[in-house]
Amino acid sequence: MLRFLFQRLVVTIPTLLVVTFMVFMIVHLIPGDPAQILAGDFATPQVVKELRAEWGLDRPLLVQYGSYLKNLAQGNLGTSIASRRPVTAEIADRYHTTLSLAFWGTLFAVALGLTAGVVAARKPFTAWDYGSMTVALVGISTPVFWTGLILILIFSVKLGWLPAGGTGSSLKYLILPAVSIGFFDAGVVARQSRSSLMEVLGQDYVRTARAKGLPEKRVINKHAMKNAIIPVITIIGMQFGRMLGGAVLTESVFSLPGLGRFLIIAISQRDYPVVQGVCLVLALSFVIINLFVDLTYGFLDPRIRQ
Amino acid sequence: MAARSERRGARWLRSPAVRRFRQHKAALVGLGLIIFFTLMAIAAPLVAPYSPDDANLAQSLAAPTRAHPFGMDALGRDILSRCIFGARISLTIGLVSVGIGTLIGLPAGAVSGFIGGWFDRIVMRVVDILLAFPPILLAIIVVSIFGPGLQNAMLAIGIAQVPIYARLIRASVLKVREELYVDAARAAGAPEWMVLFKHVVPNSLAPVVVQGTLSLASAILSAAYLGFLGLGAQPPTPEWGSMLSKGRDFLRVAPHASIFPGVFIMLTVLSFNLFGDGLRNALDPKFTKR
Repeated sequence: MLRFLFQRLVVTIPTLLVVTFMVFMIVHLIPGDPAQILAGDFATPQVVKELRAEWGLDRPLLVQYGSYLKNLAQGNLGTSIASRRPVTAEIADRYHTTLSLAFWGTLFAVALGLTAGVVAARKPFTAWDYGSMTVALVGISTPVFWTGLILILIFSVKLGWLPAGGTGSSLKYLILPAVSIGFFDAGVVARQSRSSLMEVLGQDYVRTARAKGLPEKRVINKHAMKNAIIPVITIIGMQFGRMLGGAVLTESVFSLPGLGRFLIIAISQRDYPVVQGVCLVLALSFVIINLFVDLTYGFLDPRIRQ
Repeated sequence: MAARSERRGARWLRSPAVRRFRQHKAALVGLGLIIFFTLMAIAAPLVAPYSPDDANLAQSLAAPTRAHPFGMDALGRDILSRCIFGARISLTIGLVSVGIGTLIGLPAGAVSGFIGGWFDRIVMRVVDILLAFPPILLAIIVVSIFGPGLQNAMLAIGIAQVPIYARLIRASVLKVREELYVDAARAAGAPEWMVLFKHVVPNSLAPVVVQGTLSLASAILSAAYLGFLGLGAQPPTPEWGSMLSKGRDFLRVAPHASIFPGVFIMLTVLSFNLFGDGLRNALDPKFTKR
């Protein structure tokens, strides 16, 4: 297992290097001069030139990329052009908000999606199946920001039960955002779990388990679910990664100070180090999640471990 | 001649795939809704009760009435008319961006899977890296480079779809290229490009057709997302996402300004998802009730 982990980690390094290169080049393609933005509209060309030199923006792109990599190797993501604070500190301030949002959103998606998927697969082509799959389809067809607005309208404006936005130590601030982001993914999880469970339920060993007289609950939980869950876990992992990157909409609706909103602001300010840092952290999170998903496969299926 | 083509048409309608599609009631509902939205988009100037840009500040945020069933927005424009015209924008974005995604992703993935080797490895690594970015993030970055606006939003969403198509067609090509008829075409002396584009690609298209329909749904959603973030269609274009974004500022006093554009987005996306599901069931009998 350790060897597998090591091999996977080694493979991720070139991927991340390519990500840093691509993001670096793309970010510098974005029109606009950060020095000009920082200096303001009324700054003299001399001031802009000095700022450009101060931030190293006047050097050739590849030289800038080289020094970026050198700093990166030392765990330094650079300094935000807008706030003049270290990018790592800026990201650290916001990462937990996005991570908690993605975590609770995924938890909601798994709880609702898996239940709907199992119910549908156990009673295929019945009202239960059609009902759960309709809810799943509505889930994947509804824009997350609209779900968020409707939830705010019902639970904050009309009923006054939950806050409409902002952050706090209480979990109640995350309930509506998590449900809003998770509802979409619940649909994806429900559809995937239904189809993979239905496929497994048609296998010979499930028929054997039923023929032995095992109760249906045990057949599903002990025999079918273990084999059906691997594709579902892949989807959950992918959706979790997507939530981290795609949380910008939910963060925007609920005014959450997360990475997504931070990235949008950084792009508009041409804050290159922040854009690069956030993209790298998101890509790294995605890679780690995939690694974790791969390790879970080994845990669930001994054949993969070998 | 006419009788023969009529017979061929009738035979096509009786084919197992079409029969399976027709049995899928939800897919028929989806198709019905797609036809409805398409007709609405085409005939928008005829069916919309008012011009989408007619503003009447005296009626700003007015609640729904018989004259204005969806109410008015902050500038006193009729929301129903704007929603009807919005169908044009959303469907155009969907079609154009799926077109861009297919136009780039399809040849890249097909050639990559067909010739294999280092070319395949490079293309797939690029695809992997692009897939590591959530599509909305990729679209935001592309829009940042080219600037906000309808055309750039279509380009951004299309580019974000390229890796999905490339991967899908490659997987399909890998399977098809091993078929006997491909060997037969080669043995008959067909050049490689002809084998690929005449024999392999047409037989690898089924999953792409299904994905294309489902992608239309996600492209419409992505357009709404970009519009919501102010990066898509710019005012006064009646785009559903940006209408919702403007409406949310008045959620407490005029919820109708946010509710109706959202319903339109949801129904359009739902229709393509229903249709796509039906198409997948029809083309892959594994999903059908036995």
